[in-house]
Amino acid sequence: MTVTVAGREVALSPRLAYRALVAEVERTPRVLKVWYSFLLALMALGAVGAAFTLAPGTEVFGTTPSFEWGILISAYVFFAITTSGLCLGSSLGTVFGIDMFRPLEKRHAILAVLSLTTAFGIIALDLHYPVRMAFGAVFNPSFSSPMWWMGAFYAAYLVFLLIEVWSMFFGHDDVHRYACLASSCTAVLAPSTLGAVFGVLFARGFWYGLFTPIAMLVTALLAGSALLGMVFYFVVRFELAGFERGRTLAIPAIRILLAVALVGSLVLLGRGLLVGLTSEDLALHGGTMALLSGPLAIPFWIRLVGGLAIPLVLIALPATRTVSGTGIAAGLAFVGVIVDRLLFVSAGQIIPTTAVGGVVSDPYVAYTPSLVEISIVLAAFAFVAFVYTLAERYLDLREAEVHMGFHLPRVVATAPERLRTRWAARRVAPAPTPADAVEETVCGEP
Amino acid sequence: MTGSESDTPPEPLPGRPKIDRARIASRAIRIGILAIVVTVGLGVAAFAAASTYAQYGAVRNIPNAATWRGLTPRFAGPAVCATCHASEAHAQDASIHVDVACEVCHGPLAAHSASDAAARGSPAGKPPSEICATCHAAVAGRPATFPQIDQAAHYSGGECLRCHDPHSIVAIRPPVVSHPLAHLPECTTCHAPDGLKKISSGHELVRDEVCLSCHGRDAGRDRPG
Amino acid sequence: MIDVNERLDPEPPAVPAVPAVPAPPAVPAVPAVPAPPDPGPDSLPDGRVSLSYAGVSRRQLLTLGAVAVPCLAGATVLFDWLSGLTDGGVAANAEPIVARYDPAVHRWGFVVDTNTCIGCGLCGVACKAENHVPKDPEYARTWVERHTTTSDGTVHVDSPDGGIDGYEPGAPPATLAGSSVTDVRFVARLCMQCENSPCTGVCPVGATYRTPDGIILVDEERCIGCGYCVVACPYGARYIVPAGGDMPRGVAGVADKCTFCYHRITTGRRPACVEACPVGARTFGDLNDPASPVSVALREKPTKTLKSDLGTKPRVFYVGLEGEVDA
Repeated sequence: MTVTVAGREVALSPRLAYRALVAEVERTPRVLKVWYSFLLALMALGAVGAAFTLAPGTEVFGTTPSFEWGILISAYVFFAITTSGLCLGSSLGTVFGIDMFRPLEKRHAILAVLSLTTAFGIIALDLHYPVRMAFGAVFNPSFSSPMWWMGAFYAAYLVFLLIEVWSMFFGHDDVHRYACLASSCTAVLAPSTLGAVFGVLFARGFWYGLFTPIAMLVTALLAGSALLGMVFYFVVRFELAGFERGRTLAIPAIRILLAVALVGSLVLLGRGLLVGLTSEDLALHGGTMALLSGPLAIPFWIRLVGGLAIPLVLIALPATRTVSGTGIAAGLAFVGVIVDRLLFVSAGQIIPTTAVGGVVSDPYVAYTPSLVEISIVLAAFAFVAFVYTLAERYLDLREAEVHMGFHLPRVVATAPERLRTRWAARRVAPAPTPADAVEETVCGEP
Repeated sequence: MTGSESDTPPEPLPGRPKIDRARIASRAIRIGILAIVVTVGLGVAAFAAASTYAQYGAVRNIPNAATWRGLTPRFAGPAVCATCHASEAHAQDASIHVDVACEVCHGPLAAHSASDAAARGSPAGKPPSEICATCHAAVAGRPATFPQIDQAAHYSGGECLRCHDPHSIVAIRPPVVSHPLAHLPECTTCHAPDGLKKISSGHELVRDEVCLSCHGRDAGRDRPG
Repeated sequence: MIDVNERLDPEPPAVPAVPAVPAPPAVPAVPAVPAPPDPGPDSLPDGRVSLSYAGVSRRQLLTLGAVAVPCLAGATVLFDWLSGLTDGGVAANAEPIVARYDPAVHRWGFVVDTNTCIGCGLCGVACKAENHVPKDPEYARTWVERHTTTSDGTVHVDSPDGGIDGYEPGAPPATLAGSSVTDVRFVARLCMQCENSPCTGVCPVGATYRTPDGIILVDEERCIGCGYCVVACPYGARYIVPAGGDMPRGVAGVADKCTFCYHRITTGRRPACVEACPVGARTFGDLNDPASPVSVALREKPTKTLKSDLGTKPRVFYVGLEGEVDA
């Protein structure tokens, strides 16, 4: 079995592949070896944890009937919005052709694929019957269910992303343009529908409402931009592929995205807190109070200050308008979004719908994530980091020399010129001589 | 060509690639094995995951509702017990517990009341005596008209069934064990330390033998001699 | 080397430039290192290979297709054969011959009288026995709450283990706060079998559905255990069945909830909790029948439904909760 790489036929056999792998591992710098070992250890722990979830229904999660969605769902939401946010930011380069955003092109696509597959992996471990879900969603779709639509959009998004990555690396530029357009459109639809999954639940006052999908979309932009910011800090710092344009174009582009997303997040958060504080709905008011001064207060305030305010200040202050300033702001914002999604999922369930969840002396539902859940979530982050490090090391992530940006098909784009030429040709057609004027007119066509 | 090359395959025509039959054969065998494994694996996996979709189609609400209907009840209902336990049922007809079904205290009895003789070997069993307190302990929230007692202060606590017959025909409250005085607890269990409860007859704290000198073993209720 | 701490938008220097330092003496030239061999037009300076021109040959693709199509066909045939082995010969959507029950004729309803309920918890015990509900008290198809209303109008709810072992004698916990209590009552809770149910609407695979007679059931062979219906229920009536121990349909990891004892009510019996209630606080019957206990109760007593502002249209009606605003 052979594969053509760079014009050469490379034989693929297990023995050769093993030898090549051993040689590559020996060539890896020590720092990277430590990094790989750390990530592989986390992934191994996660695999052990995942093994516990195989038998459906075994109580390996800390979830209870009053708090059914735990950190696995929070992690799923986080990875799903990250993958959408990556495309939202980069679409300015891939779809609208703004040169400043073009350096983000290849890296965002790889990160988006990794993040989305991780999200699917997490949800497969959380569902008790994931195989049934694949069949059930196809054969018995429930069009009234936002979760079904979310699954459909994210599945389509994965297909578009894979086509985008494949066409990007294998030089099919036309396909790539259309795939970028399709994935950018889906990158808006999918996180909004994910927000609707929470937003339609009138049983949960904290989640219910039309601002939940909007907030999910803005948080997606924040997560995606923050991840790109962290990645491009390392690109510039270690002078990886494309670092010159990374420094001059990508970092300022990410600063724009981060600024917009941070301001948007703060505005939506402020609006949410105001509405929650003044609401008479027990669940909404109780959830807001739990965030401000209840069991969720410490992570909430740390996130507000460290994950929203400080990054915004870092982006804005002249002294920190540096690559490292942007990198630190992005890192803080990234961790902030992780915490924010945990808080979001918790605050919606912390006020019980019924007393089975809590008694009068303890009105909050208690939830402690189990070791299995924690190991799976950590392994998910480790997986994305590991595979992305490999991609950064072994793939060509320079920008493709292709005119990006979606443009009209040639038939349509050249139509005005062609029509103009044709009309001009008719106008300058020689005037018919008196001798054959009658015949010409009868025929009707010059 | 010389004869020393007789064991090599003949030279192909110019312009055509060399055909190595052995290599193609081994590759074909490997692909064939892989194909069979993938086919069987896919088929079995699809069956394990989606056989109900082949059987029932996309929506199977009707057959599923039928399976919910087909579950086996474990409670028999109040009417069934009287067919065999007529005396207890009759005893309860005029008691304050007339509306309390047998299974409230005795638990699910459908298996016990089945017509199968072997099933009847599983006895209904007496409920634990604490079951009286389940309803009759004084708990905040119970309607004031509902009979409730403070167990610690009620006749020095202890077994309810020492004095109360849960099935009995008694029209007054609390239902008491009918005298004659055979098989009775000590008189002072009920009639001490405050004397006769709710029956003001001027009795004072007395010792057992003193009671029995008038209320002898064969005597009827409340009548000395 | 890039300076990551250098300003991306450097300000022009405010001070005049320092006079240039005289150039240092020339350093002797280092002998030139021979240039490394050119690895080719597709390689990056450090030896990584661009995949821009990588590909699979057409012959490989055709072979893959030629092998994959028979594989899928064979898998489908195998799947059909295995399904044929296990369907037991019963036609897929046929009604069972055993019982003739027309769900369209009935409209099941339930009345809970909080004036009568004594909070003994025997209904919960009976439900667990009848339906093989897991013994752990955090899983319950029906449970009892105690609502204590204090003078400021707040309703405090307590439900130790769902009330399955009854309640402790003594004052309700709300009185520990010191405010005076105006009302204490027991409120039995179960699935409302809503006409406008949020749970059936949000199931992504349509595994939970409403029968024509008004009962909401879960198809345990289609449920994927995502828990969306559990968080969507405003009344907290649902749970995911845990493995180990009792399981209502013998299947773990699927959603479950009160079914009004569907197997009992469709054979002329009453739900187990109604049978087990010693004081008759639970009433069950056919709303289509004006003589059924539930229709009589609805005519004679004022009732309300819980969380009626949500528009779920429950089929369970409560007597005695007029004093509570947010029940």
